[in-house]
Amino acid sequence: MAKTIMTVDDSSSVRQMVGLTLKGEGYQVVEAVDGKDALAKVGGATIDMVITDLNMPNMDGIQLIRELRKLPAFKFVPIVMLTTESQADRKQDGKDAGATGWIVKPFKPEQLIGVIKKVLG
Amino acid sequence: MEFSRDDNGDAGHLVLSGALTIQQALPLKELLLRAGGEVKNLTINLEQVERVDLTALQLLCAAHRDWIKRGKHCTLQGNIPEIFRRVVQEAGFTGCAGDGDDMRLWTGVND
Amino acid sequence: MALELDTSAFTEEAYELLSELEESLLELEETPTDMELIGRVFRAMHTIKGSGAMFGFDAVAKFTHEVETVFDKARSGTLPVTKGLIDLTLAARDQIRSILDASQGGAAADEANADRIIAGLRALSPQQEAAVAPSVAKAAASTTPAGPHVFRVRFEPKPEIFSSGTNPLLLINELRDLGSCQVVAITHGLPALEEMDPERCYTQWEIFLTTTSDENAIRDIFIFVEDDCTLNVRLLDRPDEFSHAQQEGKMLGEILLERGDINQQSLDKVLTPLGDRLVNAGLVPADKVRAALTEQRVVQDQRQQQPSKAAEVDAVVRVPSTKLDKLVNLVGELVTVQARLNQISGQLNLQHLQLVAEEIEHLTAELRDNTMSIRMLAIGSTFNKFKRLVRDLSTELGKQIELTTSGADTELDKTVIDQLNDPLVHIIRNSIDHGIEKPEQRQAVGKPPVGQIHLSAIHSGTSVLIQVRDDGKGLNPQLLRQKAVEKGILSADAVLSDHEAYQLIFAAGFSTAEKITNVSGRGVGMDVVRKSIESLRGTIDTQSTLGVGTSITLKLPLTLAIIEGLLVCVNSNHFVLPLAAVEECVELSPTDIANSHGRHIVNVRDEIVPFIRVRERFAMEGERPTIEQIVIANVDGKRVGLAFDTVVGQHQTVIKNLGDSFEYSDEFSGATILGDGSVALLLDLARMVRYVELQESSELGGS
Repeated sequence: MAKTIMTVDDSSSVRQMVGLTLKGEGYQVVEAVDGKDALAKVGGATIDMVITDLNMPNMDGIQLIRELRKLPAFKFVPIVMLTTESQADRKQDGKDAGATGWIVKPFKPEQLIGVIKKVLG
Repeated sequence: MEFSRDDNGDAGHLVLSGALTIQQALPLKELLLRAGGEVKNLTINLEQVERVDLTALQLLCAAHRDWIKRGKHCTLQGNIPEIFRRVVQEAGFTGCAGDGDDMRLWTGVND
Repeated sequence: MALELDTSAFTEEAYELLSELEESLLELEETPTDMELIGRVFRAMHTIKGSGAMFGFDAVAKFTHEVETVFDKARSGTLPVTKGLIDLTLAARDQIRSILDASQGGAAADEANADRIIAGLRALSPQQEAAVAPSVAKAAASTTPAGPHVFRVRFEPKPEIFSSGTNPLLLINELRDLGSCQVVAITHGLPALEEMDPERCYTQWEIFLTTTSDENAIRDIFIFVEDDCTLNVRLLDRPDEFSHAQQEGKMLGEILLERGDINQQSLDKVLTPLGDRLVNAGLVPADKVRAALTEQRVVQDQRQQQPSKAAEVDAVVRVPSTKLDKLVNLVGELVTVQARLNQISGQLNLQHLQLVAEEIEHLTAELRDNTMSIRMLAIGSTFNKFKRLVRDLSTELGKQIELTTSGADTELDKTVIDQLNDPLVHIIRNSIDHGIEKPEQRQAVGKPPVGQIHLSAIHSGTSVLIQVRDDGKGLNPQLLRQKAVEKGILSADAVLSDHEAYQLIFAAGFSTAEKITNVSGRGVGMDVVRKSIESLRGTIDTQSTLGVGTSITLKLPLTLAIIEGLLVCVNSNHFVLPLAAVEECVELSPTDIANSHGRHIVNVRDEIVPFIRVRERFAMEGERPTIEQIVIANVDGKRVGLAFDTVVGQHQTVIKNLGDSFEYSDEFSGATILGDGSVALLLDLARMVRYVELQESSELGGS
């Protein structure tokens, strides 16, 4: 059974890159453009993992992680944030909010897959 | 996941199935507590288990320990699914603590 | 553990490692900052120590440990590689060797020397550096072992780790990607079912990872959970962990103690079987004991595998050389029997039999060549030993000498190589001592201050030529003659060519050194060389140019076991000569005898060749035939004839050693069994010629 991964990013190019990589690995992909959009879409399919950007309009990544962790269905779901090197403190904020891990941008598809394997198996 | 008891109340049958993951950890704990209630003999069937994670192993280990302590007789019924065996092995659960309490009940194999 | 350990496996490995160690150290002297070399030196010692302890060579392990500890500082960069360190480490290497030799029945190792070396090494290393803070980064940087090592990874997740979406089992599985893992779950922290919060993690792990990766790679796996767990990564088979290593590595109790799972008092309460009793006494949880036992096992497995893995790389099978000798003997027997078969089939003249006999002949030859090739070893390892010799001696004598080699991959029979070492040592010592001048003297005559000794090996037909060439002061033939006369080795009126004069250095009791040094001037030197080379059926030739240098060339047979020989007869007695020495055969007619006026000489195409009549030499009975056969051989660069009744022909000669009954006569270097079962003696031409020369020296002078 293919697992479903939600990618949350306001950048369409990042969404596309992530989406293509994930599909290439056989995952189902649900896309959202920001935190609010993501929260609106999580009611649909079962989501096995979330990959979210941090800096987004409407609802940023940290807030999204907090909100997701409140939902019973997302209590233990792996959530990986996309950060940049200059966001060390944001990384900590994300961890505190309940993120499982992070990927530092820019990243290569294989790095992304590596992290997915690490948190999703 | 279900637990049933014979009419005379001596023997209980625990059938675990589906995903034994953290999402089901609370119900699993309740079920195990119930199974360890009054019966003297307990059979456990894992044949229908599809997924299992660490939380289930911890619960099963603690339950097993508990049952042994209270003198219950536990037997395994049916085959152990490969997935179960594999996760037990990956987690390094070769045994719990104390006499007679090892994971053979859960894996059907020595070590 | 009552394992029957074959200690020869260790000693063989250790000797090999010691040669490697020496090589690496010498290379390191050239490039003292080469970390790879430092690593190699360290590994060699580490393996010697580790295996030594495992095989019960406690003295080796203990001493090596001391040396290794100091060298470890070089590896971690806290101690610079200096000449002093290399000198001491080389000395330590020799000491290890003598400890090993002692265990093999050699003389006892000099313990005072060991203490001196260790004291010297300790003096080099900085005093106990400030307690190394348990800085993760630092530890990781300095513990990057090459080759598989065992790490103990203690992974203790915080109970709430699940709420970050982390699945600890995935992390453990990721460790498996680094190498082979033994995972032991520590579950004694599990609360009773009733009290358990099923969404919390109560399990901890001890994982024993055998990997070539370093600590950083392990820590990287846990990067997301750094704050959600306690992670302790420890390299287990580190040298300092085995300071008390015994045959089985650390004892269970030691491991538990060191791990802090138990204190000494608790340990003292219980004795073996430790594990069970610790558990029964309630001192240590069962899973901790299990983890400790796993640790013990994994580390042992790893250490036992190291040598075998090294062997796999080359796909080399180690076989005791005695087995090979046995095989060579059997092939020899087969060759002999095959010769008989050929003879019989020839006599019977049955076509079918002849076909089979030919096929067997073909196969036997192939089998012989293959078997011989197994015993062939590259001479390189012998060459390498001399680097050390040259280095040490030149330092001692205040000379600067560079040793170069070529043809190190030239192969020779193992038995030849084994016996070649001492003669070469003598020759090289001689070059260093008498040949190469001191730097000042060299510069005075316009030579570079650093002298050169070139050691080369090259194949030449069925022989190997080994040459030691130096660019020293050369031999003075005039001086050599004079000395030889003074010493009574040469008669005053003897006429010697320069070339012949050079060979005088191999005469017994000949020494041209002005004073006797402890390097080569023991007055026994070079004639011993000559004897050794001749016992190998080899020859020596010396060339020299005064002021320019000397070269000494050893010509050695490829093998000692089977040679091509020339079968000859006197009466019905057979003799064999090494075919390699034979140049031609001529007939000796009564006319020739008459022309030579009673002297044993024959005219071959206007060249006068002296000959030895074997019949007379060995006082054999019977009449000599009218026409005798003279086999002309090259003996020490001279053409010498040997007169026999008949020449039978070429003979594949399986050489058998002569028993004690032939002790009195060293003119025979062996014997062989002929196809009809009779025995033929192998003539040692050089010796025969020398004996005859002694008897008739004036007669044979000048040619």
